[in-house]
Amino acid sequence: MEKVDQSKGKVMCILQARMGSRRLPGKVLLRVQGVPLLEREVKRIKRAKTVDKIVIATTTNKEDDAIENLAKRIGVDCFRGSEKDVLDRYYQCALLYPGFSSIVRVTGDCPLIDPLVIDQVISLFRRRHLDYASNIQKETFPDGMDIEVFTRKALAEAAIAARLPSEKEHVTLYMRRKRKFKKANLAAEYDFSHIRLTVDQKEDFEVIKFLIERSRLQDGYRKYISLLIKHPEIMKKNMRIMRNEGLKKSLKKDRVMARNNVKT
Amino acid sequence: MVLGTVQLGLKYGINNSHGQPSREEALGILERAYEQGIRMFDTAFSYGDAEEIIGEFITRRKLNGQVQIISKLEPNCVSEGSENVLSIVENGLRTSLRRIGREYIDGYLLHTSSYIFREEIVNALHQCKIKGLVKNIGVSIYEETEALAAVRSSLIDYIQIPYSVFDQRLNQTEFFQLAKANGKKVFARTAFLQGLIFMTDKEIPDSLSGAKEYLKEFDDIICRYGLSRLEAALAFSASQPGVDYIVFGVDTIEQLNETMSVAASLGEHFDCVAALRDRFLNIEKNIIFPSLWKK
Repeated sequence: MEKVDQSKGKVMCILQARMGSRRLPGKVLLRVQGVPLLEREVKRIKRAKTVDKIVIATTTNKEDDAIENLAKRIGVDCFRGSEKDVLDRYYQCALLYPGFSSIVRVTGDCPLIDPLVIDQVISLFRRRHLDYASNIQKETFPDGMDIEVFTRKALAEAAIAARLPSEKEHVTLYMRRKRKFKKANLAAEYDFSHIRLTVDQKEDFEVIKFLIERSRLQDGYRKYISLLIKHPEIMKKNMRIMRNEGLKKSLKKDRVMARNNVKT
Repeated sequence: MVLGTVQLGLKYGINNSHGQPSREEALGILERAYEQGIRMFDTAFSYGDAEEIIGEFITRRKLNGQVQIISKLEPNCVSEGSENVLSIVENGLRTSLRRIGREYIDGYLLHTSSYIFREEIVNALHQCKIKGLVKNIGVSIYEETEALAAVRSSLIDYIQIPYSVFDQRLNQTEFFQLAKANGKKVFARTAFLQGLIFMTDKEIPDSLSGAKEYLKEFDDIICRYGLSRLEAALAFSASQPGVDYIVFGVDTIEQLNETMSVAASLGEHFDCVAALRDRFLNIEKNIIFPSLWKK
């Protein structure tokens, strides 16, 4: 029998989501089989055994009232914070839930997120007493299975110390960059990193829709992969879209900021 | 039924008096096969022009997506201890895809049966599957041990086996039961031993003269049931419930027509199949393995 370690503390999942999207506006509320993608994602996260609470963190923008309404309807807490400084949004949100010592970060564009993988990342995080664990430091999982777990302490330190626009927009960039945080990565059995199970563009949505229509809520990501293997024409629909388009954009902003600093 | 295409790309087969068909003849054979309802074609990198001919056929007839193609990795292309196994396998597959003119194919098999024991090669095939280059992966085997390794591998989808009246080795193993239990698709080839089964004593070369007595025994059995060698051989392969597809080859349109018409009206022929079953168990491998025949 495994002994329950009380010091592990409770785990909350902060799910960041917003209506704004340059490439596919309102993507998180697109519906498949009548269910908005964000609702589906919440339902899947709820299946994770190690997640004790889910909070949707959206922005204070008017358009994101729709997200708050969805949260209300499905009985999930909703926090509203900064649009651009997502790190601060996470920090402010976490402050409202002091009882949770570990925080899982998941983004609203991953409707097929796998609860079993969430449990595996959390289990790795706990077993090795880490500050940060994820399955994205080396990308082997499909895009759209991105899961990160970190301590409340690491989040607080990042929120106070991070300066660069990219570090504010991408919540964990600072933690991942600093050596002082103890980190580990969960790798998939095979390299699935070219497979996209995220929603960022129209083609992505077509793929997601295809997969949802042919699977059950409780299916894991391997089910999606085997469906795509049987339908390479679907797999190829969105394979050429670049991973982490958003991150590349904000790294560009850093360079702009660096240049401006030199001038002044 | 699956049409094998080695004869279309190479001069092949012991009973082949026609030589390799011209490109137009080859395309004619594919066209006729399609008309007769064949939707799966078996080819390989090493079958000369066969992959390109199939590609040309599909493009000309705009059959993309309506026929399935199985090809095979070049034999012996991964040397022992090779470090870049994935790139060798993937490049092999991409070469075949380019020749066939498709972005992906239905099946890709190892043509070197012993590769089933090389985990890194099977993994590389699996990686190609994950990349969307092929839907099913597998191996073409010769020996029982290879067949059993393939049927137990969790990564393998397709297994091509030698199976005929004269090669019933796998009936003596648990291969067919395991294949069903593990959801593998089984393709039986050499139902006609490359045409040897149709040869008269006079036509059989000296190197295979040992086959004559078996053919005589075969004739003695089937004449009691009034079946031709073609009917009996086909009925035998088709009667094994563990066989999902029969892969057969033809040199000419006439052979194709004959085979297909026999296949279409093939009765169960239970009695004849039962009489053939468990016979010919100790035939020398140099008769049942066309690869061992002197060229």
